[in-house]
Amino acid sequence: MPTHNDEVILCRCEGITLGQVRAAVQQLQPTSLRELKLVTRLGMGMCQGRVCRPIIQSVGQAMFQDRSETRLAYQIPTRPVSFGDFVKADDDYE
Amino acid sequence: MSSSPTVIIVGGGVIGASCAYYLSTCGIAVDLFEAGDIGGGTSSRCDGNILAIDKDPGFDSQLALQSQNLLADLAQALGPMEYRQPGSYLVCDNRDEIPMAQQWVAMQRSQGLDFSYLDYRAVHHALPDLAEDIPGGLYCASDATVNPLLYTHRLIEAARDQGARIHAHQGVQQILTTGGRVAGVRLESGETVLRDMVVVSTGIWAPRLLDPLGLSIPIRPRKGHLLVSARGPQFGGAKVMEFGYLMSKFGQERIAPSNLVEHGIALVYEPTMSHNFLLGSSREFVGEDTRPNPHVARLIAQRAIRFYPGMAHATLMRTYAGLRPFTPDHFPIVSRVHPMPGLFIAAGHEGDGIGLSAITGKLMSDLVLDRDPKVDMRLLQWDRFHKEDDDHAHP
Repeated sequence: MPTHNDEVILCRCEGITLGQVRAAVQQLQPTSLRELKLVTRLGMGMCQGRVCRPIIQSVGQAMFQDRSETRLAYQIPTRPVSFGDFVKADDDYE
Repeated sequence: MSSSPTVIIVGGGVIGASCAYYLSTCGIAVDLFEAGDIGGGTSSRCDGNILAIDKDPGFDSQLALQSQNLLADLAQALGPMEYRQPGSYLVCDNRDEIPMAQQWVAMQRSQGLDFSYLDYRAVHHALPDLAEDIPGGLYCASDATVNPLLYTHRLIEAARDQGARIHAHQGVQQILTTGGRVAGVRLESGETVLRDMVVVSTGIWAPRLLDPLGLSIPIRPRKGHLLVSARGPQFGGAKVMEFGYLMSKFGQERIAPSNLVEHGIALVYEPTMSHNFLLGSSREFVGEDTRPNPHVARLIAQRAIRFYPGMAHATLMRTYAGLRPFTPDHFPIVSRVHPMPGLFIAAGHEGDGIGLSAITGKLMSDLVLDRDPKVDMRLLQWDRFHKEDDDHAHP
């Protein structure tokens, strides 16, 4: 991590670079990966981490190795769906 | 004797962060202890309401207005927090709600608030994506919004710059007393920290610290869901709620399908600065589980499409849920605890924690420094529930 340059993109959907992450860490001093995610929007875009999760978790491990909760949660619907289709889905399906 | 007291704040959500900011602004030495992440509880599982539109005319709305003014100042003074002030709307589902909406506007205007009633033409002109049968609505110009977690962090950042010591991932196990007054806290690590005063700002978790002292406060977790859209076209740049939200909030009877009433579901639409939008809301007493319930999420989506048919084609990306710290009269507790000198409570803001955070921190600095708060604090007293029992339900 220390060797990578600031222009490296960590999250394509939200366009978040390593430099932006470093700046946020310095300024706001987040103490976990979830907190870092919420102040930078890392992994909060359309892919919801399906593309960037391994990268983000490796960043989390490097920055917060003393914390156990370096894994990000999954939330329904887990992949994008139109609101119209979501409403139509069968409850029993879950 | 030192010139100002030393204070421990327990809880690093938006309320604890605001107390830390306002206390450290007054030169008070502050130590803030947060069991998890800064803002990791309710303050990161909510929307960014800074609302007067849904407040009862009178004390409730004046408190909200004062906080709105303070927050506008904070938005200038602190780092970027996605603050903006587009006003907000309440829209009516049916004609039965129209007279109540008109009455609501009249009462607010008589108190000097900037409200206007919108008839059919006006509401569809202001909100062109609304379903055709929406009969009317109303607008409150002073309402604002913010990114709640970023705001919490900006308060913490500024407090830290003013000398506050912020201790994340250091939970408080117990409030320590000696000779009937507060002495400090014992941390979960076993370490003891001694200070003159302790402010409890742990939201739904406040009763856990106070029960062992024989102090009972009726805060309960009231779960709420939010749905997040993908980036894409928004449905207007201001917050929109349905008028039934007011009734749901205050537990009043409302004409709506029973499955909506059962889960306290009412439309809340909030556009964000990240080019997506949030949809709520639900209000339920179902314990402390913050996992979203797919059934409730689906009903919220259904309700949104009833008001905005075009949303059926927008993309849902994620859902989450948080726990509002409910009190029986919908007012927070911002109070000295008389039987225990040195102990203060700032908790129980239900869905208004972001909006009322600034006035709460300001009032807490008045209480700690024994200044006149210029607000009738009796309505925010910690023990008001014991005195009045349940004969004082919300009007």
